[in-house]
Amino acid sequence: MESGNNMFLIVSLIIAGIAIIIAIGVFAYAHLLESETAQKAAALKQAESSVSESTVDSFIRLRDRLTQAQTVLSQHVLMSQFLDDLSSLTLTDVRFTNMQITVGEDHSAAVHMTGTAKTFNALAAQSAAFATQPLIKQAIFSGITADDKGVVTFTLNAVLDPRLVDIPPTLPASWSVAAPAEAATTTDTTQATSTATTTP
Amino acid sequence: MSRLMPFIFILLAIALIFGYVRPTWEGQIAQAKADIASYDAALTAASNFSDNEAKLEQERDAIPADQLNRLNVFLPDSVDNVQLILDLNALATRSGVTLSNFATPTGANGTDANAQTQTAPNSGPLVDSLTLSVSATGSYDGFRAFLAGVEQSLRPLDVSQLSVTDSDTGVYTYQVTFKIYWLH
Repeated sequence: MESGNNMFLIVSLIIAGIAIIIAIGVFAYAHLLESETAQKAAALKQAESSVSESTVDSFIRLRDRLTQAQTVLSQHVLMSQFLDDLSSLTLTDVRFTNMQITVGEDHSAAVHMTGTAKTFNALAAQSAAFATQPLIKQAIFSGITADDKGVVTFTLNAVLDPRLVDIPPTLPASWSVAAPAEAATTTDTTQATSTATTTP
Repeated sequence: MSRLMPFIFILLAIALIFGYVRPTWEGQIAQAKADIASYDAALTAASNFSDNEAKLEQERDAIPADQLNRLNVFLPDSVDNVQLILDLNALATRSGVTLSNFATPTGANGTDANAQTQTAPNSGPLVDSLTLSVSATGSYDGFRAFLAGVEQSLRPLDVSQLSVTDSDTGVYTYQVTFKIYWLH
């Protein structure tokens, strides 16, 4: 009976000892983790302090400028393309006296022109010439009247396809990028040619 | 008394396990582990940020400074329409065209009535635009040279309206409305 009591005492002592060892281990582990937490918090603070807000802003600004510049450039309007086409399409017996072009948000352009033609036949030929340019749509001649000398006055309304005023995928070889003030010197060599009959 | 000692030891063990070990493990230690995991994630992100920052700096430095300056001219931080008018005037003079009546329409509250904003997906306004109207007189060839110069200028100017009126003298009258842009 006495030996059974001693055995129970020994087992209880072992259990209590294990519990104490575990408690000490947990205590040490908790302090170790606290120390590690403090170290990582300090490291993070240091990492945060090394981040320059102005540097980040400059990167964001540069990214925005690059992406938006690409968008603006891809939607650049080149009215000269239409004026070149108009010069080549206008017949010698036809003269435009007034022209108004309005470019819409979708880059289609509404054109309103008034002009004179030496004869009805010249006007008919002019109408046929415009029909050969598929990017000039809905070209409607109206207000057609003839004076005593047979000179025909008319009004032309048309819609330009966006491809006629948008920047082409490939820039002309003669182009060079310059500021407006600088551009004058470069455009002297690329002046569009036009004759008296093709001027508006 | 000696018979009670085993029970006291067992009670002590139970008290330690359930009174200290378990609450500390599930509370303080679990919280510390969660904090450490959070800090580790943040430190990893910080490390990635540093790497990306270095990479971006390298890429930005690879762009020649004059190209960056040209980009800033292409899409400036402000409208700077006064300098633009001066540049346009210089270009017109070289092209033999005379400019007059520069107008930037303003609304009742003093803000630009024609100012528009382009927005990118999932972002705020990035680009503002302003219309600038100008009257011009000159020969058609001169105007074409002026227009070509405008179209090729470093700062993009989009013609949104163009009006040309003929004249017997060969000096025509033009009314042009440009759209100009700047980074918001």
